[in-house]
Amino acid sequence: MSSTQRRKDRIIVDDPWDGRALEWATHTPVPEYNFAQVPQVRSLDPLFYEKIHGDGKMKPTEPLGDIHMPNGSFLPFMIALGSFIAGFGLIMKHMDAWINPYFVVVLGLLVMFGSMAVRSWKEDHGYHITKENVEAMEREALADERNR
Amino acid sequence: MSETVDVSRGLPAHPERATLEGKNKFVGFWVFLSGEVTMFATFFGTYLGLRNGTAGGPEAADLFHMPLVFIMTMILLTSSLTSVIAITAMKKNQFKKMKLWMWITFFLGVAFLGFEIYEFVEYVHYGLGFSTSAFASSFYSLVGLHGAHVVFGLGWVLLLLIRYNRAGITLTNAPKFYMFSLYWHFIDVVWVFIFTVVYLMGIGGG
Amino acid sequence: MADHLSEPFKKSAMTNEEIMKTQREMRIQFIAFAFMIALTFLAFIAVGAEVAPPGFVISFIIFLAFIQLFLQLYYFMHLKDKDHGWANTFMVSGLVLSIPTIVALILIIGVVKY
Repeated sequence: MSSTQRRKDRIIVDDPWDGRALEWATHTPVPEYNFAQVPQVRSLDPLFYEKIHGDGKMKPTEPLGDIHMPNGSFLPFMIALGSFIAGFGLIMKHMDAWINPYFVVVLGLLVMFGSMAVRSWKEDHGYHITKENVEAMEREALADERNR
Repeated sequence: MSETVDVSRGLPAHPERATLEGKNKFVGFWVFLSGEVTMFATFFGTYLGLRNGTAGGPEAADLFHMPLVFIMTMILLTSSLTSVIAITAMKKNQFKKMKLWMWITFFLGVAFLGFEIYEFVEYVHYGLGFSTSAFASSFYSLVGLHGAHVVFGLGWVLLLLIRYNRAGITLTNAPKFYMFSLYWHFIDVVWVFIFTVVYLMGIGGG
Repeated sequence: MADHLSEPFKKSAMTNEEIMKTQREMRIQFIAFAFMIALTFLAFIAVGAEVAPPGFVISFIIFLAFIQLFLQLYYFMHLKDKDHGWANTFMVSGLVLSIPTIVALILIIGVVKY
């Protein structure tokens, strides 16, 4: 199947299975900010509750505004990689490898704790999606839904 | 999803939890600490199970010296108090005072670490290697894990103090210093149990 | 949205009442510290004096250690303050999990082997 065909066959109905839980209350595909406004949860099955007692839509708890988003970061992966290398070095003791296992352990620990230090050193405040952009993305998602 | 901090009147009274990031860090750090509790529990349980398995090597009562352990305990308890003073200064926006007390905490931690290394070297001289006996392995694992935590904490606070040497107290670094102080108190709590369960029980309770 | 994240503040927003409260808390923390020092002395003396039977001394010093744990957690780490519900939940569940862990390890590798 070609990727254009996949794109055409993509399900973009918000709630295709008549779901009960919160994940079906937002758009499909899910926007990067999940919900434009934090929904008010009134039950363990919030969407089902709204369908029975309300109008089937989640009520917002806040006015529409700028949304703060974290920046993507490569450092958590480096922390995990360092911890993997250090752990691998520890089990290398009986492997008769060409490299000294303690060297591998030290390298792994350096990568792991070094990445943690970098993460602490950098002040990463993330970014904001402006209210106008959120509104535009919401309109687009609603138009997609209507065109189905 | 927008969080607003009122900064017009100055530093908020709880700067460590003023922002959403600070609140998240706060909850996350307590999750981490409760995980640490369980991890130390497994090491304590192992030590308590294996502490009589000396396999002909040195025993706890032959090795441990009360004065040294007492000094180490006092140093660590005092460093816990100095970090409390630092955090109180942080809440009042007294950056210089906070920095001073954090440095004192750091140097007390270094002193503690020095004693711990001296202690381990001494024990190795007495013939207690890491794999001498089950007692030796579990003892070094437990106390060494605590020592590794101290090393990590010292590296952490050193990094923060160098990074924010001139920054003043901001909404970004206040949570970081606060989390360090929580971590440091936690290390102190663990040490309280180590000196009780390992040292005092090793000396006084057969 | 305040983008005042990396700049220092000229003054503190604390009201006089809050400053008083902080100072009172500081005093309580000093008292807690004095208590902890006293408890440590007591534990060392209890072991050093060698007057009581070891069984009693051990349970006594472990009891003292738990009082110190309580003092550290509630006074130094502010667990008694408000907005610490989740922190309390996590810490208590961690401690509750630790007890069977320690008991099981003592039984499995201690009592069975040595």
